[in-house]
Amino acid sequence: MSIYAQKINKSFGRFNVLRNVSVKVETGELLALLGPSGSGKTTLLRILAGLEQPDSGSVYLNEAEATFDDAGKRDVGFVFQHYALFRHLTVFENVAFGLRVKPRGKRPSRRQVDQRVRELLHLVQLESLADRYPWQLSGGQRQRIALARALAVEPKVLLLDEPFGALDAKVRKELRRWLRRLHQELRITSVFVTHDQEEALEVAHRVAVMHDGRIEQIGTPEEIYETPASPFVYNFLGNVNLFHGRLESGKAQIGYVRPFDLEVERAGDGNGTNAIEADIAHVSLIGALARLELRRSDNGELVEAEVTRDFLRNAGFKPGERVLVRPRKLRVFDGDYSI
Amino acid sequence: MTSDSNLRNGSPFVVPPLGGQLNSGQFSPNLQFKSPPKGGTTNRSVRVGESRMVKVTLISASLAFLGLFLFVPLAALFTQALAKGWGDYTAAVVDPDARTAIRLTLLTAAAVVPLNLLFGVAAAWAVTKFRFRGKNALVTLIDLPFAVSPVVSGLIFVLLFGTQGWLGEWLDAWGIQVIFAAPGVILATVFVTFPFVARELIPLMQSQGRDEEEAALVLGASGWSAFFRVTLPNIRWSLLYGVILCSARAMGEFGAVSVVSGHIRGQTNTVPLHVEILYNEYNYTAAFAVASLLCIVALLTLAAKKVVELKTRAFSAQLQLDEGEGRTL
Repeated sequence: MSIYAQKINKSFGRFNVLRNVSVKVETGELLALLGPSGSGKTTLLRILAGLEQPDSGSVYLNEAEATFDDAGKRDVGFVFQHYALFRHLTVFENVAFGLRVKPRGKRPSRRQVDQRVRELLHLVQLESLADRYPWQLSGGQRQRIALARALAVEPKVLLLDEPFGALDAKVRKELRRWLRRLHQELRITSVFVTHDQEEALEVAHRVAVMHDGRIEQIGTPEEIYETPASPFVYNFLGNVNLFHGRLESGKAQIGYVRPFDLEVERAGDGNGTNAIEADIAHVSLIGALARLELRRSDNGELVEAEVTRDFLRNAGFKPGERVLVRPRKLRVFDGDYSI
Repeated sequence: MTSDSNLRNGSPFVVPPLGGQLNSGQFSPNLQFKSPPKGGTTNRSVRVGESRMVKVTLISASLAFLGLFLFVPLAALFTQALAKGWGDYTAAVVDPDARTAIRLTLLTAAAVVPLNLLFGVAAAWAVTKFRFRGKNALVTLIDLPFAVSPVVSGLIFVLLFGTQGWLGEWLDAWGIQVIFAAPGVILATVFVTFPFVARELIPLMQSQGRDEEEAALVLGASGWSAFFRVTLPNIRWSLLYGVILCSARAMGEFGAVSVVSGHIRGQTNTVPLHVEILYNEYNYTAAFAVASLLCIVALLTLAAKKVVELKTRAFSAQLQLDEGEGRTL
């Protein structure tokens, strides 16, 4: 099922949470809504689910208008950030809930419910926990049960609100991989909200970067990362160095350079064109990479460069040394844009 | 609760954070284990002011106070009630006027408790699950009966429904009597006791949030179904607690009822009013005998309250674990 949100506006009191947001999700696609907190991503997700009504704009599910349909009538599965498992029901009953509340005519028999729930628990690899209560599970287990519960009613769309937000880094990574595999298996149209750029880039087919109630850019992870459409996107997706400059016309401009797009060489070794002089302030090793903190000699600003560990070893840079920094790849935006 | 102990064994630091919230019997084995062996005092924490003297003084002062103001009067009441033997006691209790009073009191409670149960749940639901203007005003208004003297509450109803009142003539024309009749007693009691259920539920429902109901709705449940399958089970113990307090107060209410009932013997007297009349007539034995009934109700309420409290605590202990685990795992 495809999803199309058209010109959605939503405000809470005087606060405009969404401003004229349009987004389309193709059938079978996995889209990430990425943005800092307060960017409106969760509200957009809740509007798609029918848990929130837009002030204006429309939602189309499978090309049919669904803006005012009840959440329960939309064929969507929703996974809440804090799981929202029914605390008074066992894992089994949690998963069975959606089947048990179906209208009498459509309600599956006891045996069918039993079979379906077992299937789902198998899918999320938690068959052994059927009789436990939510409070007896770990965060990662709860999240998987929440997913099984959402899938029980065979939704056409899966919406996930910060699905891994409350988990620690290791569990997150595992679940992330698992979710991607699950999506490959089920091919269900999915939208998930996250503030973690790594998560969005790793899991999603396409990423919509949100900022201040708007979608700043939407595209594949490569597009978003390689050619950010705005300084905000540049900044939000990883570290970036800013170089202030001026065009011949006098207009202020800012150049954006990723730390790994900076060439570093010992002062005096090269020819010095298009390069900035800097002193090494600090060297830190992170796995295979080395991060150099450089202080520009002209204005004292800090610049961050990433080089491989091997490169660092060969060059033998030490803190306090003077080097030349040259951007390999630089993207320029107007200077009046503030982040 | 085997699973409970599993969890405890699994995580090494459960006892310190939970110790404060869980003083029910479940956790005492652990606490005993932690305490030093007999005779060893080295481990005992030295808190400010925790000397043997202070402890003994405070405990005996509390006991003396309780004895003087609670046990002695309670004992006196039952002694006085039974002063002339079981015969007089039973006679006072089965006296037709007393029986009418008991019936009216029970009728009042039977009418008031369901009404306030509905109102309390509705109000708590509205306050905690919806966003709307004037929410704070509503919460404050729910507390109004606690702030107003019961006598004033009674007078309000006389002012509204009495023969000289705003609606008096209209009611008279329809032949409905509210004041100096059972409906007045019920109305006044509803007013006085309506905060009990709502007050119990609001904090709990606030802490539980709306997620579970929303989850139920997305899964296709209707509003009613979400309420009966999700909300009600989550609030059941607090609801019962509120109902117990509400019914105890409904049966014991004196001030507001006294104003609206008119003290008509054998007709509009509730048990507390009947006790007062007997007492004013120097009929002490009968007065205390009937009063002892109220006391028995109070003691039963206390017992029921204790049971529900333990249940609620076990329930919220689960929720505590819930939150703690979510963060650590």
